[in-house]
Amino acid sequence: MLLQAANNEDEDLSRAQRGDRQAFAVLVRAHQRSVYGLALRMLSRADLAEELAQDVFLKLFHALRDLTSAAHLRFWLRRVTANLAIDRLRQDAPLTANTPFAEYEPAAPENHDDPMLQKKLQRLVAGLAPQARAVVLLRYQADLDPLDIAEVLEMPVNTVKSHLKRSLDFMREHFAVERGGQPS
Amino acid sequence: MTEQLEEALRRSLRADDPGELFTRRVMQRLPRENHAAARRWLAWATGLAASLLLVFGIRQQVLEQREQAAGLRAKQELLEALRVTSGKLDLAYQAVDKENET
Repeated sequence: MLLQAANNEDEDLSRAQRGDRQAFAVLVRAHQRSVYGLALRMLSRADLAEELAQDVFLKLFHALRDLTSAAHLRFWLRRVTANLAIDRLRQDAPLTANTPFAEYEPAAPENHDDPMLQKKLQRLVAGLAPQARAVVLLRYQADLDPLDIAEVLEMPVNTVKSHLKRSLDFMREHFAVERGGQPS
Repeated sequence: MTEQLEEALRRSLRADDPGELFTRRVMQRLPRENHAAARRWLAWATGLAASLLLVFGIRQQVLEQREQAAGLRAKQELLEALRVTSGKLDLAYQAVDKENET
């Protein structure tokens, strides 16, 4: 089933490379969730995420000839989305500045389906530095392992692991403090 | 704790879809196919026209050179014929003069 989907995507990519706009639309539809989803959690604003995601697909349209496979396409989209978002965060620091998340939400309950907890975690992630945020999103949203994240973000794998560890520690400490305990 | 936190992160950071109309908005921002095709066609036609002009120009030049060479040859042949004729006429005059003297 997965192999069939990959073959279909390879075929759509080939057709798009030959100028078939319908095939390109199929590619956009197939990847819009991952591109927009990453952009949204990076920028924390739907309008900026929409604009960035559109820019990514426009870049893709012009770079189609450089892509060799569906896997390459997915890698390319993640890399360009993450890098554009990091650049955007650096340029527009006041627009998307780290939010003082602690004052928005009450203490986190234990239930992981709780929308309050989910909102809180989103705010905590939005409070991370751009590169750490990209690492966390690629790990827990795109489900990439540290090696793939290192390749996407062009950074050493140890840096990726370090970002992950520090980010998780930061979140754990935040919850520990809110529960009234001492940070571990 | 770590596993719980990681699981909670996976749930919280799930990717949202931008909606049905997103693809259409992207497609509307793509460079227009007609313009691109027209530009390609124009470039192709310009190239073809330039090539044809070049071929025509070279052909004309070759024809002119051939005509010039043929004209030059004809002129040389005419001059040669006139020279030969003039020589024969001289001989004829000399013969007539000799006969008149005798």
